[in-house]
Amino acid sequence: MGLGSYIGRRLTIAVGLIFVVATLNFAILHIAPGGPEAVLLQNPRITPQARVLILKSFGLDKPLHEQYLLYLKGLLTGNWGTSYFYLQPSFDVIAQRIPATLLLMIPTLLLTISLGVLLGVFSSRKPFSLLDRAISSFAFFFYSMPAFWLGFVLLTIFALFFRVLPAGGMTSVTATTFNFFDYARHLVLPMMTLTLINVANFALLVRSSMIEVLDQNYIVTARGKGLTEQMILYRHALRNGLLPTVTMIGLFVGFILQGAMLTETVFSWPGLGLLTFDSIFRRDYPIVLSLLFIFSTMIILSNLITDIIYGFLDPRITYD
Amino acid sequence: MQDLSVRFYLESGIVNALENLSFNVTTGSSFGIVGESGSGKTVTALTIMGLLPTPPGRVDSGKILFKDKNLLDQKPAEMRKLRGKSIAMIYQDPMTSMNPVLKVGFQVAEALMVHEKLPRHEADSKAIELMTATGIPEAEKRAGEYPHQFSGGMRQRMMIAMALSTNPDLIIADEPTTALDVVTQAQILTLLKDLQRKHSMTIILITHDLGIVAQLCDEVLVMYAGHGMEHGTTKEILADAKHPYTRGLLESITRADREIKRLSSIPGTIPNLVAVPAGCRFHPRCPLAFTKCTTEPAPPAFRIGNNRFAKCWLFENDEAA
Amino acid sequence: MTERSGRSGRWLRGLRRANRGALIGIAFLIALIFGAVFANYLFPGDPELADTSKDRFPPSLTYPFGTDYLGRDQLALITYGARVSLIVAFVAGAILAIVGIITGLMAGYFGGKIDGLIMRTADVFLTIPTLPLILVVVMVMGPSLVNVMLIIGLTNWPSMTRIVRADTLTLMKREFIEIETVMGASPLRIIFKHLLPNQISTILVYTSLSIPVVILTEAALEFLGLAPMSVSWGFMLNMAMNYWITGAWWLTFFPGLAIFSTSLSFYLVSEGLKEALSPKLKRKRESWSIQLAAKRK
Repeated sequence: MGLGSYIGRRLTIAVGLIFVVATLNFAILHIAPGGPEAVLLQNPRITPQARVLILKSFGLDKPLHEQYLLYLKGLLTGNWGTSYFYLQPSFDVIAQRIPATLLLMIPTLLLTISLGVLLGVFSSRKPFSLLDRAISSFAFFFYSMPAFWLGFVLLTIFALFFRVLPAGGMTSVTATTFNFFDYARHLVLPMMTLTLINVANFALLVRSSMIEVLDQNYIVTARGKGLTEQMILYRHALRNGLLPTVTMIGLFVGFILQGAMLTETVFSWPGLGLLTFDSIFRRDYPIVLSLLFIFSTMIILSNLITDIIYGFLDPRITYD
Repeated sequence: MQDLSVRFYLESGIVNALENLSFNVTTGSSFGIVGESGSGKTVTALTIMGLLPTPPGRVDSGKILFKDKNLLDQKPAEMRKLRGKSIAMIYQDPMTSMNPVLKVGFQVAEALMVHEKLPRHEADSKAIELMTATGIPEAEKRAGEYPHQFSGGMRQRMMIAMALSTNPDLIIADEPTTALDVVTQAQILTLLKDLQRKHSMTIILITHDLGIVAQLCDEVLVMYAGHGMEHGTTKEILADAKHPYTRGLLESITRADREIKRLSSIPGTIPNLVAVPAGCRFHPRCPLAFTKCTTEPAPPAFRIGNNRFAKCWLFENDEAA
Repeated sequence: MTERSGRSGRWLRGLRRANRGALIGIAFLIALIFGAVFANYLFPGDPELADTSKDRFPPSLTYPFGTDYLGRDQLALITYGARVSLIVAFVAGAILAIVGIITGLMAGYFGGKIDGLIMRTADVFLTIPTLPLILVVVMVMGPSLVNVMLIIGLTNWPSMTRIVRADTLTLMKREFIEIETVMGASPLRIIFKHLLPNQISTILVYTSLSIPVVILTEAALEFLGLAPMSVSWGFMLNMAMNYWITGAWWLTFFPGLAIFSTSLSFYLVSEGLKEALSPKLKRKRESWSIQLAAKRK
């Protein structure tokens, strides 16, 4: 049962990591100078009633280990504290904003993966060619680029100089219902920003995986059988080369999510990223802490999912 | 093969992989190519198959005649049609020579589907037949499994099945048993021998092990540093090798029927193929070298018998009529 | 000892072979450092002094980078801002390097449980998203310069650890280590006199490679409002966001450009170092073909 134990292992690690993050969260809260009370109650806007509520919801009057257990229980049951600003449970606030972030991330992810694979595979066939070196240059060019700056540059070009695209938000102010075309127009720039930053690096990873595969003996065997180059590429090389790519996707989800944090801010995209920015500004600690948790969990889960998918795709794991 | 010269053009220098290599392979026989690592055996095989990586490598001269066609003149598309169909190759390392993510049944059947355009199910059943013929137990059940689930010996049998699938005119086996343990080695060799007899295939067997040659091959070509040093029937060479290099090789094998006083080996190592010594390539290590070996360029192949030649100045005057 | 002289010999040869990119990077960094150090002389007076009469002038000859929403000269602001970025870059980079080197050496040298522990921790750090974590920590602990430098350094060490550990493991297999162990040298001596010096070039390359991440993280922190100081590039961007919509594109362009250029320069320098200090990498193209040829034989 190779697959079963593989999935089991991955699952355990994922759960363990989420646990670590939660604990870190808790630890940070309590290590802060002045203790959690100081952290949570900094906002002068809090009314005395809200104060009591918050203290109770965090159970700060109980001994430490009890707090910890309460905290964990709270996490699991969706009780993530109450936002100062919204005066609603953090969980609700965050849940409301997740769709918007997904609406940005998923198209970006799809674009990055498809472009990345295309570019990576093509440049692997002719290493050190012009295309190849161009991709490598782009990779480190965009690796050093701050995502928020690129966003502004693109905004400046397309929304300021050439008034082609909207300057922010996910939908136009005038729209009352969800119009796909409108959404698409707004999506272009933030998606471009996020994609540009990540695609070259992804392509490079695909490329090195493909190069490694193309160097293998079974490719020689395939040639020796008289297969056409196309057949060799699609049937033999790609299946092997793209396998590690699956795990890389998990990694890049992490990058794109963290990038989204900054990009959403630039483009006023109403998702989790913008919420992070605003909440930091407002010193809305419960939200920020919950955001740390949700970001980490999303990334850990996506890594887990890609790992599991990989397990299904690689016969060496499925049958062993 | 006539007068084949292959060189690799690298930034650090030109590697003379093969020089003026010539030999004939009789149809239906098994022809062995023996030599140390780096003697050019694999390059020879690759050149015949047209699998030489041509950016660094280049065929500088010579012809390879196969069924009245010069293989070197063929266009890539033509070569592709021949590969796997008329000429098949079995590779050294069965572990890495099979694609780990494709089912074995498919890999064995692949050549059939490509060259003979057999539909899937027909090719699959033929593949199962072949696998059984090469000694893979329960072939039908196991055809749906993946390479990592088999042992090295099994995989090599599959490679042989792959090669046989299209009934090729020529099979090139490049050190087919080097990566296997001794027991499996014997099994594979027996298998090859049986198959060759049954189907009267023409095999070119490449190896560094004279013992294998003794078992399997009718004729032998001894290679060293890109040159064909000696050629003849296996019996002739084993009984009475002429070329000093061949003699050295034979002497360095421990044999059960001779009393061993000392383990002998040929002193030195193969020359750097970029900076070759002038003259005969073997002369720095040859116990019988004399002045001509160092001064004159490499000796040509001298005929010293019927279908027998040796590239050594010692035999300059022994040329049979 | 031959190892040592080989290395200094390679340094000199490397400098001559340095590629164009690295030279551009170095030139930029030198200019930047110069500006940061001598900002007081280049732009006398307090750069943060507001002069609303000059509200948002576009770039011109007098104000090459324009003025911001408080009428301040952006070029001056950026030059002063270089201080923060450079300090953070170097200090956080140093922290990252030191922690990474020590953990890497320990993991490689001692092996076994210590290795497992260190690498397991490293893996955790590599998997959790660092940006949210850093955000929370800085927010809670207070956005001081020290905190920022510490936290950035302490979250990025795993990549360095991996490299150092790998190198250490390879070095451990070499004879002179065995000789020293047999001769009874103390572990400290082995580590510091033998394992470490042979890795200096790799360490340098990877430290400079990690610095872009440091710079970008620090800029992101400031951009999100957790700025240690007000005159810093990221913070300029933070404020500029509000005014961008009025058409003052230069408010976001130049600070961001500064971040980008600095980050890119460090990257170029690291690439140049990599090429100069390991001639093997230069021969990549050739070794590829040699490998092919060798395999075929």
